[in-house]
Amino acid sequence: MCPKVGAVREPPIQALSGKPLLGICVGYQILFDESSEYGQHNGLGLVSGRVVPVPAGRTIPHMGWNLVKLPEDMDLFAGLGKEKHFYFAHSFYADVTDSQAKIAYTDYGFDLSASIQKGNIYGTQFHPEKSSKSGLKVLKNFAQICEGTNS
Amino acid sequence: MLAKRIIPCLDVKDNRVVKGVHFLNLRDAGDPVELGTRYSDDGADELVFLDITATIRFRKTIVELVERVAENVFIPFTVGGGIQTVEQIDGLLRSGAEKVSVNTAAVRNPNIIAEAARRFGNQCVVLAIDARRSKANPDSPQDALRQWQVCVKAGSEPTGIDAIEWAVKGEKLGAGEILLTSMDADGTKAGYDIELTKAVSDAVNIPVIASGGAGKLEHLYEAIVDGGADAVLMASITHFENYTIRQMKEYLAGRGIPVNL
Repeated sequence: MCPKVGAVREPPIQALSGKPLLGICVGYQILFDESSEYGQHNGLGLVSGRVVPVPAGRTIPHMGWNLVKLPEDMDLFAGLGKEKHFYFAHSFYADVTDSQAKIAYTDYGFDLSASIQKGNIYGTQFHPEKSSKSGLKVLKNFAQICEGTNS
Repeated sequence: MLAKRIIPCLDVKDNRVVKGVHFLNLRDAGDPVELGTRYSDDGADELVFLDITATIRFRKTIVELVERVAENVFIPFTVGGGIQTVEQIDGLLRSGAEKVSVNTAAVRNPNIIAEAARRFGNQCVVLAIDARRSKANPDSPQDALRQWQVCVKAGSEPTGIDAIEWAVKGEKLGAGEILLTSMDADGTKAGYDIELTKAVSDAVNIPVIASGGAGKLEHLYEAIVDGGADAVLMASITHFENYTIRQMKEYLAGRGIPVNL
């Protein structure tokens, strides 16, 4: 389940201090500048881009396991190989325009942004906590990133 | 490309998994958490837990079971059966369910779908439809069984509502997925009701899970290719170990269906 947006104030402040931040699903979408879901809303603006509806002409929500191409230089995907399936459940997606962000894509009839990394900011449109072994590996990788930052 | 999903369904009665034919003659099939964990390890894409006694005999919801599953199983799972209110949906989602399916309560009060979708998002609201074949004109002996009506209360009560129209309305109300069970096919192992599956998947734009009747590997292929299903649900053929999830996926992959292997 995705939490309500109003509950989020502390994470961006922490993120600006350099602590690693991982946003999942709506938590990923909120990293961007704005979203048009249920009206126009401002996001945290930590990563440039807009959250817009998945284009018509396919089944919506985008629900289920889709194959994500994993760039070698994205730390969340260390040890996971070139591509893996992850579980998605969403009707809006992030159109990422940030030139500093590394982006992993999945194919849903177009290149849909599945994950980003920008400095200490990480995000996944998919649910690692529901993506079985591959998802747990992503969370372990994030935990390692956090440990690396602390030491 | 989005993989087609294989979803074992665990019908739960008194905290045991059971399976029957036409919703009757229940057989014991094990502990829900144990079975759920086994399916997850075997590569199931999702799980569905249905509390099948809840609407007939009054029972509290299966919050405790949901908590146990969420602690042990790291794939999405849907919970349904006897859900009456948006507050109950709230409780089940907070306990760790990814989605909640509503059947009888949605027929009685369609607004529960709209309210739940508005509060929690479309993606976690599943409209469960139990459909039975019926005649367009019951008085005509020539009229074939070409339509389907919605049944409620674990399939025991026909409503006269057309299943296709109800699916379309459910999507408009905000359901994010349809769990479509053929009452005629359920438990028979004679194959899914392909006509029903196709009629509903053609009529809506949200994912449709075909349910009821899986007995052979070909049945899964037919529901996906001929029926247009986004996912296939099964119980008997996997609880009693006729086929493993991996066998199902390897079979489908061999016939060109995208799966998460």
